[in-house]
Amino acid sequence: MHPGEPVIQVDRLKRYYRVHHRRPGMWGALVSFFHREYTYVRAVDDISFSLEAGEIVGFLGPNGAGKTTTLKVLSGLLYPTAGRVSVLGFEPFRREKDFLKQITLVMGQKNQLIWDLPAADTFLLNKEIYEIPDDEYRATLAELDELLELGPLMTKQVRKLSLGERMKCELAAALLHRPRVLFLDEPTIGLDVTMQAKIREFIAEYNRRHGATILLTSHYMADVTALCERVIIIHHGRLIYDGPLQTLAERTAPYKVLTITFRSPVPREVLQNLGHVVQYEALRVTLHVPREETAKRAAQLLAQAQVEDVTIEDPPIEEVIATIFREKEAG
Amino acid sequence: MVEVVRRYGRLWWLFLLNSLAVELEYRAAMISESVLALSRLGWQLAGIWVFFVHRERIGTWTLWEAAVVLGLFIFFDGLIEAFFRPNMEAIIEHIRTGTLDFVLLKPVDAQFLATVRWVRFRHFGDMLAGMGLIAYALLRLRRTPPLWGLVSLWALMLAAAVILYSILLVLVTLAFWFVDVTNIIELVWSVYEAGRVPVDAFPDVVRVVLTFIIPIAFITTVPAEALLGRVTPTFASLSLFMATISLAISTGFWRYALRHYTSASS
Repeated sequence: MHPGEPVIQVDRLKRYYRVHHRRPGMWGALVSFFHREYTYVRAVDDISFSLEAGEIVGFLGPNGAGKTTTLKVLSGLLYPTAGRVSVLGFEPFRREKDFLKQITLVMGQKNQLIWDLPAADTFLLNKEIYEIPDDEYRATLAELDELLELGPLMTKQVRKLSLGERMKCELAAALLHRPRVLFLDEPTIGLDVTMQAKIREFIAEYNRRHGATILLTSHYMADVTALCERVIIIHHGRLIYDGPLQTLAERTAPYKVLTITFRSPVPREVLQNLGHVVQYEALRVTLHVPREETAKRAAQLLAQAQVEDVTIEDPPIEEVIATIFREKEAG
Repeated sequence: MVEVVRRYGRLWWLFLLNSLAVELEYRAAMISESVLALSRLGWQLAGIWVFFVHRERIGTWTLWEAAVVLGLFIFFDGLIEAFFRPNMEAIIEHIRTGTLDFVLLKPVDAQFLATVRWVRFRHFGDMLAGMGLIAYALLRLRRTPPLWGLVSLWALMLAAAVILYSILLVLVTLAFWFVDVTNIIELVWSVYEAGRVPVDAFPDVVRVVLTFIIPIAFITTVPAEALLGRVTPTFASLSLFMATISLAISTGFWRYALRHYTSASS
């Protein structure tokens, strides 16, 4: 890889696979035992993007959009059907040793830790597998211990750890070799809010300290808003947005959300002139107003009514994205 | 080259320590398995003893000569349970749950990492019982194995282990297509049972199959002949040749399956 070149380059990647279909019921089972009908699923259909060193990019899309498939192609687990993929200057599917030593894949739903033994045993095994020198191993483990607060978790059998504790250890096991590229597939899935926040902080801090390039998928928008300035959205295997999270809201949701608390009730008709009334309670009202007129409408409102409090926000990112997918489905 | 051998040696040592640590977690299983090994030995012996009550020989083999074959059978049965079965189960589980991805992303040969990862020490009892039976049978035969026999025995047993490894690797590799191959493996177990008696006990056709198609003969009969000083150099080298061929075929099949896995799965 030449300096200045993107760390990850995906050029017109396609990945199709064959699935067999089965009609329901016993007869269907019997028929498909002898004769299988196959169709091709376009898991990833002609997408291109690239990541610069040190970027954290959120990779979004509904279930089955092709996120995991793309991560698997990038990490070398799947062979691309067409297109070119390069990570750190390597072709991932060759799974060369020098490539594998510089990347990591964390899957929130799968474990690499040895179930019946303490996580420390998996760490030691990975030390040997990745040929990590003693002093480097000690330093990295001490750092991960500090950031993830592993402490006593390392010496407890993995099967006795809670989901969140296990995820911390999974991350540590996946990062001992100090990979330069991290593929994180739903790293916070199923965790409680506090633990999610901790994992997020860790990912951000790890990126700051080591300048690692991170591609992250998550269903929790809080992960994405906290970590990623840039998002890539795919839907049905096609790329539908690649750019700053900020402009995503501006571009696809042409309104802002005004939440107002009044001192005395205001008639609904008055508010309808200012914007779209989403929620109307005695003293608390939520309005959608056109983005470019936000300031003007807010001023009008303050002039016309007795306002206790007002907030102006972008619509929640979940809604923005849901709108995009709805539009894509419709059109 | 030396560096690679040392690296994989160190890894294997860690695998052994991990396996032992896991086993110590389950004390009851370890103890009950050791008791079971002894009772199994008893039943196996009873089986051939009943046969020799009625007959003097199986093929050209007398009771204690056949006991050497049985000893080898028990030894390799223990070897399968200790070294091969836990890994086969782990591979099927990896394929079923998708954790094979972690194996494939390690900068270590995937076949090594997947096939010698676990050892079940509790089955060492069977291996010891098999060895004990062989020693006792030789004692009863009042026969000291010739030096050539002892040397070739080790080579032949190694070849036998490699042949077993290869057969089982081919079977477990089928899991890449069929996912759950537990039943196919059970089927082979029943074929392996044929190794309990010398191959000459079978009709010609079966003997040929057990020698060249599913080379069970090389696992128990041939090493036993070496111990009894009857093996010819030709047959000994045939055994090593079969081991090399099986290993090459099974490794090739495994690699083919991995390529299929990365190009066909989702």
